[in-house]
Amino acid sequence: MAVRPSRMVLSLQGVTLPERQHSSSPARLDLELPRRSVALVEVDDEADAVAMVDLCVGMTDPSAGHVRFLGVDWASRTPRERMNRRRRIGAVMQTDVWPAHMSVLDSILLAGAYHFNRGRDEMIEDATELARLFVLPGLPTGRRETTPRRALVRAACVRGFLGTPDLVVVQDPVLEQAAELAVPMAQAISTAKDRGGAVLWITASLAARAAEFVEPEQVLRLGEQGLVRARRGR
Amino acid sequence: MAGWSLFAPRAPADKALSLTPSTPAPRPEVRPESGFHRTLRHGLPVVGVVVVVVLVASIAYFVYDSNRRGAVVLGNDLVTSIDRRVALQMQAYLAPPEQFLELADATAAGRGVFAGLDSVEPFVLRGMGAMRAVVGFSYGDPQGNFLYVVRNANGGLDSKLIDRRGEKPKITWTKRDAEGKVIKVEEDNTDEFDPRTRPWYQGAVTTKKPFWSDTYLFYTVKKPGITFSIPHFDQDGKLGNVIGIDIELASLDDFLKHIDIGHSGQALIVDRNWRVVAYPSDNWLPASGPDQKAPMLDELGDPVLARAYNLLRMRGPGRQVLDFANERIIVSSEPMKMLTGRDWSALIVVPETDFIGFVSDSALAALVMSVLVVLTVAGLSGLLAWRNLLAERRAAAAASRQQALELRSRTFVELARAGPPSDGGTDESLEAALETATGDCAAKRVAVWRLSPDRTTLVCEDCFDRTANDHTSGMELHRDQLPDLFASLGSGEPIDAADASQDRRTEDLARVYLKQLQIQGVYIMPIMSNGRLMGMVTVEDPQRGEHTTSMTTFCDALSAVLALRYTAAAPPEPVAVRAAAAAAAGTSTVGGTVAEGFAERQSRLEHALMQHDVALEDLDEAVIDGAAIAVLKLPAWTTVAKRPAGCEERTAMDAIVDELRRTIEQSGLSYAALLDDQIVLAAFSPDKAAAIASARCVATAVLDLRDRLLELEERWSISLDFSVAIDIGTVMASTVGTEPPLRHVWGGSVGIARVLASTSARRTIGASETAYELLADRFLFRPRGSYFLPETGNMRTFVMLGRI
Repeated sequence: MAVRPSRMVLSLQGVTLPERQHSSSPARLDLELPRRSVALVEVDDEADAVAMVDLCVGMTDPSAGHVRFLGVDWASRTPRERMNRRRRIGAVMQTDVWPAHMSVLDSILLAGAYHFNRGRDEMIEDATELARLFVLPGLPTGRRETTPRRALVRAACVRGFLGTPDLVVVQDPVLEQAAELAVPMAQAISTAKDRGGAVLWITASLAARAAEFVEPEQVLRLGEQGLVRARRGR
Repeated sequence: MAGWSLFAPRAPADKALSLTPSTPAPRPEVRPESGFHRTLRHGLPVVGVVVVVVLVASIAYFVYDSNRRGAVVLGNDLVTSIDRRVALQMQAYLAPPEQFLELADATAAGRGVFAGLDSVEPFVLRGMGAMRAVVGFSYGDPQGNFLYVVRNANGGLDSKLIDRRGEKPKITWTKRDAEGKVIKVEEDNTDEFDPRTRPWYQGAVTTKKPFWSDTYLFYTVKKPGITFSIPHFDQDGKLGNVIGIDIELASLDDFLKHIDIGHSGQALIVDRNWRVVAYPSDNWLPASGPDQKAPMLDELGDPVLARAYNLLRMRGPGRQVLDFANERIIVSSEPMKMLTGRDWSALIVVPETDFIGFVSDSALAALVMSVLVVLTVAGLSGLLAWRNLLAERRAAAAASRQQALELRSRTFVELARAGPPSDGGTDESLEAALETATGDCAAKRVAVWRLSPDRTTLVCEDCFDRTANDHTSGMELHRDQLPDLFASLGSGEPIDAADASQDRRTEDLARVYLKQLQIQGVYIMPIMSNGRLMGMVTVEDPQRGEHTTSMTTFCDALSAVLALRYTAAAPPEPVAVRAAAAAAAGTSTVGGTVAEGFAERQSRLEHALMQHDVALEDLDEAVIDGAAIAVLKLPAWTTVAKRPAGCEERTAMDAIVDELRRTIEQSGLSYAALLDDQIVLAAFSPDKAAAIASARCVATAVLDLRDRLLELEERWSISLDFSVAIDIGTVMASTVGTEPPLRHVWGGSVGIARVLASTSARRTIGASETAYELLADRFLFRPRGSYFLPETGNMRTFVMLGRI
């Protein structure tokens, strides 16, 4: 695919993260995420992590600053335009991704079928490849309530990396503790980078076992005042 | 997890919760009661109570008012009669002394003291004995001579005579006993008494007519009294003498004291200046000395009398009502001049309540009794209304029950009549039954589970979720995961667990199934036929209380109908049983019914081959059907590259391979190949009838291999992260031209087993659906989930735990 290295995949400039539960002051977020790069961001409070994800994918607007995806400020786009742009983003998370009325398999394939009109067999082939990378024999056919939790975590990885997203946002506390997914995650992220994508992994701990083999270009931590550089302990 | 899996939601999303197609039986039309009539019926008792309250209150007020008026009239009459009585008493008390004095005056005949002494003194001494009210007699003349007769302490009469005929007054006291005998005569020249200075003398002289003094204290007897005096003038108007009598009023006070005027009323006698003449008290004294005047009404220290005094001064004598300290006081002042000839008045002061208090008391008692009557009437009316309400509710509940019973009956009839769909499609009668059950039991979900022919699995035939308004099916509950539940179901007794996680029988069910659906309570009714468990009905999170009886009854009936239905239907032969039977009979299963279970896999395989312009028939020589394949994924090389303690081989891997080789050689497997970190094992036979035997051979071998590896783990105290998987299906076989020729097995089930092995948990044996179906009669499995594999389509996966 065409790669435009000069333009940041994700850019947060002077963004304020308001209403933090465990901090008295709003945090200032500044982040530049170029193509073929990975940023590992430690956020202690899950509510802050979710809020940050929502900002990055354009689900909410910041009270101050600008969040740009592929050079375009989310705030300048209509909800429909935002939704169209979000097809370029893969999200590895558990919240609101498994509708009750659909099987996990259909949920995985839904975004590709809706946004890209790809053939089902083709998508199943790609998804199955990813499923086996994430140690699943195939794509779970049950609904969310009948599918094992471990399988849902892995299915979320398949869903997030499926296709060729420009940005993959990872925020899944359960996934972080799955040591057996460390190698698959590293492989999937490496593949995404090779395709020109960028990965933003928001983790509760920089020592997350699933991120053990990931080599991030930026390691950050959300502190009292905002994003600051951090070091990973090995 | 899991023990269960969901693979076939099949209700249309737009399907509403309705009990469909059956035509409801005609029901008698009940005309609904209008709001006006209902309000009237419920409101009548209330109106009745209000009317009774108003009537009782009106009657009580009327009676109270009438009684009060009557009491007031009676009170006035009583006061009037007391007035008259006082006047009469006054007259009876004062008239004899008056007459006595007039007789004495006639005896004196206008003479001076010494001229009339001889006739007057004996008259007085005789007359005063009978006049108990008269305590003293005075007889004076203008020269200052004076005779005074007074009662002494012995009951006799003493005389004091003052003679002013000489230069110096001569005073002589004559003492007498009670018999009138003179017991002592003495002179007392120290007495300076002069009658001409006394008020009774001066008053009579001044007015020239009979004179009544004010009340004052009799010095000699220390009692209140008055003096009545009469002057006597000759024809020329010259004063001859003045005679007077002292009348003590203690008896009059005692009389006033003993007049009953209500509870606290009192009567007084006052003169025209509102000075007190007689007061109803034994100890009352009008003044501290003989020269002082009697007190006015407002000087008695009685606030009521003080107010009465002011009122009478303003309005004059008569009958008044005085408001004093929230009390009405009747003040009556009737002049007695007509009767007594004196300008005195009888003053009566009495609280109005003394006369009409009994009216208030009786009215209050009547009111209390009326309230009791009203409360009784209200209670009875309330009871009547409550019973009316209860009757309505019972009628409504009966109608509701009737409707529910009709609905149930139709449901059961349709369920029993329809039978299970022959084409495996949607069982609408069962769906309708579960929708009815969900509503009847007010439950979140109701499901019907049928026990599989091999009696190891409960398969959900249909489950209706009221929240989602959707039907699901296909979930499985396995005996090895829920041993307690299966054991309890076998007894045929219903299981009612308000908290499934706290009940031993449903503890596992809560863990593997209910908890994930956020369901807490469950009611389970086994479906039994001839003492044999056929399935169960589960009611999840039912509403307790009044629905409990309905739930148990409905579930009981539903289970009975389903038991009949299951018994009537031709029971499908279990896969494992069929396989076992076929193996025992030596017939082929691959081409028979078992192969039907492989139909989808076979179809997908043919489809995949066709995409590459290859037909399955064209591969006849190279294809092996029904091959049992196992793939053993060996531990990562880094963990087995060193030599453990006590191991003779160079590396742990050498020891493992050697151990596995010996096991494989003893297992009877047809094929084993080691490549990299995987060992592929296969058992197959040209005789297709031996497929089950091949499967068992491979299953037995992988269990032995697993046990060997676990033993090595324990012996070496290292973790060997291996995994194994089994699949039964089609593979390709090639011959390598060696001497003797070697066979190479590849493709098909080898790939599936490899995928299953690589994705199985460490130290476990994964199994495909086909492996499960062929081995379920001899080996224990638990489900692992359903997955879509491009090679097989939808496929349930399992974990093989061991031999049964």
